[in-house]
Amino acid sequence: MSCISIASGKGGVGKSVLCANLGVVLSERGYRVTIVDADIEGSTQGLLFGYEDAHPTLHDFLSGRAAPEEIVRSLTPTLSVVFGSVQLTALLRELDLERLGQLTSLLERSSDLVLVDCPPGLEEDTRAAVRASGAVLLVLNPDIPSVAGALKMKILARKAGKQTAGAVVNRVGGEYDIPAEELETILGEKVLGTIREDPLVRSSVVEGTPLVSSHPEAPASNDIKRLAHRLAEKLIQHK
Amino acid sequence: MATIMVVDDEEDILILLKRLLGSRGHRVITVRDGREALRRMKEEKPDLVLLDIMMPGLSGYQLCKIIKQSSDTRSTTVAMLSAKSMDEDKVRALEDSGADWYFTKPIDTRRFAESVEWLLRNPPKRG
Repeated sequence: MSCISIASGKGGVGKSVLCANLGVVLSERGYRVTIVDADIEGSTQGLLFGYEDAHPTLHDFLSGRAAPEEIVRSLTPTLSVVFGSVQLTALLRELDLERLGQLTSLLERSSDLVLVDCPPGLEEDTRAAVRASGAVLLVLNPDIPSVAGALKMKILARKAGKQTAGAVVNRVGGEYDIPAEELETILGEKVLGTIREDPLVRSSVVEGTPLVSSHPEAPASNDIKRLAHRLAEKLIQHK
Repeated sequence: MATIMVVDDEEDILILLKRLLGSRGHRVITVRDGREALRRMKEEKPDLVLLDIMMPGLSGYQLCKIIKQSSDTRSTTVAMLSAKSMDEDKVRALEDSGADWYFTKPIDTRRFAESVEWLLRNPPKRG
């Protein structure tokens, strides 16, 4: 389980932001983490880390124009990121999505954990990202459309022969939120963490610095740290 | 006190839920098929409908869709209660039929009663 897809089925639930912040926290705890921005048509990791013009990117590797070692950017001694292209010139059909699996296999050799930021939806790019991972971490918001999306992602993972690593409920705190214990029951998944809605997330995106670094004491930062702790425990148990 | 309609063709379930939810102070109406449920909904105006899926005549999926498409009944909270436990069944209920929640049989009565209270208090909103 050293390669985990951060996936949702439904877009806009906050999985890219979660992926970036989880990567930072776990790397600060000493894990060698590599984030792969596999959201081919909506890459945002560059924006989240303040590397909008990163080059070459995952797209260059998937189109055969760059070698794996050229696209892995070390941000700290324990955190690396494979950024995606923010240009809309890369067409999905021009990319060999199966190379994603080759890349994650390579990265797993030099990382304790590879986090794959999945595309939204259930199309071929998402399926390729799930196939390239060992397990799927479901991210959802506490509402019905998001629950349906998470269930569909579970179905996709099962069909791909991948296990699910639990669920994370993001943006909690609304009046009509579905409680975590109800989500656990309907999903048949352990909720590993709930992350509060936090306006500072938006500020951190604008700053190009993940929330846990820019606002380490923010409520959502504390929630993400707790989640990272539980995820780390799971990783240790798995090893 | 809320009015809860239970629609199921299994007598045991109707008795169990009438006793369980009735003991919590709710008025429980038990109905054995979909057509009767639609007729009784107009009279009783339940706050919550608990629907089995596999019933003779109208299935729970079909009945839920009718309830959610009618301007008279669409605001009523509908939860499926079924032995069908596949994720595909849940997606079909929540997305295609417009159900507000999904319970899988067999139920843990204590947890189920708490979930029903949650649904009555704060039914989930759709985005």
